[in-house]
Amino acid sequence: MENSDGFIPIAAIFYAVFHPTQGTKIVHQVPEGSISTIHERANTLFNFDTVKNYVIPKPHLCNKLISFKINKFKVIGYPVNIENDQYSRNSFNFNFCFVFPYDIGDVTPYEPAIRRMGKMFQVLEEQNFMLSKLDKDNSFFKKSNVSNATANTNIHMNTPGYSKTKRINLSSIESLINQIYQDLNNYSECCIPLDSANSVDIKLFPILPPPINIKAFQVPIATVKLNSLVDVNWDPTMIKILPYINGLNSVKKISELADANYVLTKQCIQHLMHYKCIEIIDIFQFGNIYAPTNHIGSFLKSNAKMAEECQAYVITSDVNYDTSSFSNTPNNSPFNTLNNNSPYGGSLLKRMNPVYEHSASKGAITVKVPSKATLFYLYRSLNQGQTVKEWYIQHRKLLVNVDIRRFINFGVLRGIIYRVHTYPILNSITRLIENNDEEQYAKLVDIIRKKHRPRKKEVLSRPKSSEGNLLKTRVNEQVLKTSQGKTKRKVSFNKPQKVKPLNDIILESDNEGDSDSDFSDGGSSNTSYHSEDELDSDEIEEERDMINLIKMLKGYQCFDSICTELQKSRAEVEADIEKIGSYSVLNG
Amino acid sequence: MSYNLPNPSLIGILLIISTHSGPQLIYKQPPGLTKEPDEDEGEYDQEDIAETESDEYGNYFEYDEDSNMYGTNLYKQWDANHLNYYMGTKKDLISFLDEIETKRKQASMKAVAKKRSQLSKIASNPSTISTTGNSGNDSIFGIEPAYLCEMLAPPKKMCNSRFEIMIDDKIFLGLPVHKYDNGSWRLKGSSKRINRNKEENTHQHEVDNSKSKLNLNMFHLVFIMNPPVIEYNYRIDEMFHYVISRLSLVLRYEQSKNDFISNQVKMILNLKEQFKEKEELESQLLNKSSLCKMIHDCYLSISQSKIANLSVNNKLRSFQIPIKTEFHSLPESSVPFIPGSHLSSTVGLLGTTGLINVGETTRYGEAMNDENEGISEAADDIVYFALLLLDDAESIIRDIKTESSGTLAKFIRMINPTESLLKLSTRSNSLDTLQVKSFAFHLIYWRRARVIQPLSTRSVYFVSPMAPITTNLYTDIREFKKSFPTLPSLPQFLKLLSPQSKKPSQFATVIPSKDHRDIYFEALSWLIRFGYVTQLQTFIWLKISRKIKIKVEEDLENESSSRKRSNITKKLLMGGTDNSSKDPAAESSTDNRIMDQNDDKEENATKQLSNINAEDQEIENIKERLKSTSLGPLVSLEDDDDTILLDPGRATTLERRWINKIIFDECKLSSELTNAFYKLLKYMDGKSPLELLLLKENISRTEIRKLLIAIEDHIISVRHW
Repeated sequence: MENSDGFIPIAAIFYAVFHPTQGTKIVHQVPEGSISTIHERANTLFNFDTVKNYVIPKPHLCNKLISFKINKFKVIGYPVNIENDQYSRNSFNFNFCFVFPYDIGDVTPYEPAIRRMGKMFQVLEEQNFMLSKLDKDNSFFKKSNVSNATANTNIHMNTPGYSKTKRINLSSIESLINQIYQDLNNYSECCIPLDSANSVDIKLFPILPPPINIKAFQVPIATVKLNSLVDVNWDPTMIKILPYINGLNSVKKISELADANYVLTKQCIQHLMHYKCIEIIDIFQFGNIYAPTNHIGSFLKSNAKMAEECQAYVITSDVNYDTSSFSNTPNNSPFNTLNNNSPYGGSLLKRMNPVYEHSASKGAITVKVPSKATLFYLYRSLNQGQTVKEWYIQHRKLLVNVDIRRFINFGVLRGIIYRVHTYPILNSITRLIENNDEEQYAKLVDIIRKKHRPRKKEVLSRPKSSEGNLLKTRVNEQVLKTSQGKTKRKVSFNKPQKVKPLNDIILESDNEGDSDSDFSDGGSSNTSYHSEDELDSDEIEEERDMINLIKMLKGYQCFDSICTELQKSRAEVEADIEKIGSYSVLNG
Repeated sequence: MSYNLPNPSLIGILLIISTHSGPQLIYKQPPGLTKEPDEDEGEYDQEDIAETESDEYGNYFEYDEDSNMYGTNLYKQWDANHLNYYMGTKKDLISFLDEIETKRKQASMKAVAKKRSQLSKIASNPSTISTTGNSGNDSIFGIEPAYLCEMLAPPKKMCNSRFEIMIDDKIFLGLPVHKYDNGSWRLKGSSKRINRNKEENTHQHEVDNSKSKLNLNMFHLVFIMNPPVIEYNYRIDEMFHYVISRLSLVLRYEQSKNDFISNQVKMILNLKEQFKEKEELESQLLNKSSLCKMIHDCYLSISQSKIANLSVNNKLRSFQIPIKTEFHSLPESSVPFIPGSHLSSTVGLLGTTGLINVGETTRYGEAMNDENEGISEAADDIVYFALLLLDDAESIIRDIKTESSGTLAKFIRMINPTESLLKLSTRSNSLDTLQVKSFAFHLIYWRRARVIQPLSTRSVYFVSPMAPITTNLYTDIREFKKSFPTLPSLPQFLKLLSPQSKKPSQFATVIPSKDHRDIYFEALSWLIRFGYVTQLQTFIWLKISRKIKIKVEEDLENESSSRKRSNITKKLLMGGTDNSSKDPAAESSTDNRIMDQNDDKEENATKQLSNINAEDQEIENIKERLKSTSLGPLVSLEDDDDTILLDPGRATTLERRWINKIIFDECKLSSELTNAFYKLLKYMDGKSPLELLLLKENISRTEIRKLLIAIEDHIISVRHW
């Protein structure tokens, strides 16, 4: 029943007035005869007499958007009441009503348009009796005033330049509503000139749910080519952040890389999401945990489409694909034909794995595409107790030619796996909540403050000693690289330093002092920026970080959130938490 | 979308009647309806309606800056059940946490203060309401009541069906009940024809009486709502379906039987005569008129998304807009839901029964369409499940106002999350299965219980991905401690269920000793109740490896090349064994026909084969293969690798041959295991958990384990909720 743009079609439009002698009546309707005005007739939508009082209500209720239900229809109109002693009843009432089928769906996109149209005709009528004078008998005016009213309109003749403008006059409301009816139902918009200055312009827009507050650690990934959408009217922040939306950077990091205010960045990204230009994933790290959802079965279903798309998306070779957009899958035509296996016949069928010959690359490089069953097996083998790293080590043989980040992202976006978040739980906080001891918390904060000052040096050296853990992940990364071949895409870690250089350049070209204050403004800063003589501020930041850390621990934030906020790696955060007290880790 | 969060958007209820002297407003609730109840309530919809013309971006920013970014925050923002918590742009995390912290402190201070002044507050509360009512004139959102009445007392043709009018952004929704031409209030169906005379008599009688009374033609209970634009249809449908239509019909019934409305209206009008002072009138109305009390209670409960237990003419009736706390799939990260919601695929089983309102999981409502098959069975399956009470048994009995010695109360006391309903009904003599089922449905619908699989030490539980850790953990730590002082703290307990570096394991491994069993079960049910934990279930598919396929292919070739009748009969016999275990006879015969056709083709093929060369033969083979596989549309992974059967319960001929190959040749199952295998076959569709099989079919755990080990190479399993 919906038209091509998803809007509910209009069943009928009618124009009703309060006639001085005949009362409320329909003057014109389209399609003709859809609303019965005299007697109950078959094939009409409803009887006008029943709803008369809703079409032209008491003056108090006029000049408001009013809709009502009658039979199986919903009528929306904006009844207008204009008082003027030139009218024979001292007032003139009219209403353009739109009729929609009631049960089908949402007609809210029409409402602002109908309201605006009512308001516009109200003004036009007030200015030059545009509607009332159309009555041939001039029955809306007091007998003596008829000439007056028409004279009023003639004033226009004398305005300078009037003769030059093209004279368009609203000649018939019937043709007007007919055109609105046709155009809105066929094109979801209309543009009908009334006179030289006014026109009925309506365009229907779908109403989307308002943006949801997204979190600092969430990662936007483009579903369309964002760059192709940019035009001159775009918000400057939006343009600034665009290059950093690549499916790797978190919202917070995007704001830092683009040197844009965090809240504004967040708002931009929320709007991109509002218009379905991006989807939200999580920061990919090898310490993450993923597990199957109940939709994992759909990987097998629907003619294996998802599986095919997955094969196309996760495969790696030494050709560099653009990673920034999810929709940008490597050209999958070569192995669509493979799967349909028409040209090659049996010899290919007999092979264990289809072979993906990349024609675009320099040499004849063959890449084996993992079979769908293998990919399914890989997805199902993810579980709540295993990090990607552990899982990778276990399944390394099957993961040849699979881009793990893409593999995971594909699963998350298609809803067949989900991210298991990890929450650090500080035992002392649990205890103080159990005992309902707010003072204890204040003390805890205090202790950190005091502890911090004298042991500053130690604290600074601490992160280095905890490097051991960090080192491991680095080693792992190396393993990854060698196993995948030298020219593999870089595996991403959420360490600010890695991508920092870009930002550094920008900062250095600016004057340095300013950028510093900018950063501390946002409540977060990176120690690596500061030179030695700024040790004091280092210290203060360190302390603030610790206090923020406690706050976040008390707010039960997950590791991703904490790491993003403090701009530290998980290992560093873990070391920091250890300094405060014993903690446990919760996956959920 | 945000349909998961309750949002009744109810801002008032009016009672309008129409007599021969015209329409009249009898009662309104709340008393002061002069202006917007809450400025920020409909903030984001207003900006959509009124100002789409103006710059949309500008609007959002303005709004955000005003209320969220820098300004003072609304209290509602801290309520995770309210939409505002998820909407707009919040500040950065740290300041957000800081503010939550200060709110918490304020709240705890208030709680202390509240305790002291509780009595005085209750006393002062009604007066504050009525003073606000007094402050303005009588208008309802700026409209004279008389005009509004006219609009809300529709002509007869619009009565006795859904009535809806919207004036600006307020919706007036109701079911006006109009007397029929013959004076009766209810449409007489064919079944009532017998009573017609009787009715007319009473009607005659009524008319005589009502000369002294008022001549009521119509009554209309109007609900005023202001839902957000985006949820407009959904919210008003919800309200009409669950509350308005049901309540209006109850009132009509009472009116037709006992003249309830007429009498009440008379009483209200009398009271209005007697008491001119507004405050006094309000309290008198609430005390004396049960109708006013009912409307008052209805407004209070429904506008807070609670269950409205109303006394209509001294009969208890309950109404509610069901809330969405049950999910079968994980909502997208952008979809808000009530913290503490329960996640389990068993919800999918019951979702279509109308008992529970399953939560939406996608933002734009493009739901992943799970074709729900076997819906009718689902409601029957409930007896294999257990009930988990969402409150303490005694307080439920008190709340639902059932007799504390009645059968329902007894049943509620009997409920144990470790026992299936079937067990419960066999244990007690007074309850049969049907009764147990209807009680269970009742408790589930009225938010008193949740369906779960019976808790067991052998089951695996894990921290739910929907666990309200950031939202509720802070307060729940204390609650948990209160309930289970001897157990480890809530986070510690959750940690036990979220293993590090190993797969989640059976609940038994968590329990330290036999003596702890019961208390650990209690704690577990507490965790499930508050949405922290859910059960991990196992789903399996049958995997046909390449090896099997080749073997079956070879068999087929052998059979067809020998072209002997005996072979075909043998095949038929094989089909026969197949059928005896599972399939209806009709299906088998068609299967055989297909099989024969297949044979014919293959025969043709082999005939041709003798004439053509080897290369062609290969091509022909491939074609043949393609043909035969295209017979089974359910086989989706037509790789050159393993094939996973999606629905082996309805296997095609070829698939059945594969299955037989596995049973008889590959695994050489014993006859008992073969039987067990056929029972299992139905569950190998990846949708029905093995846990359900254990509950429903009469198979022991050890037998299943034996079988699974035997066919290990040919199944693929997945574990999720």
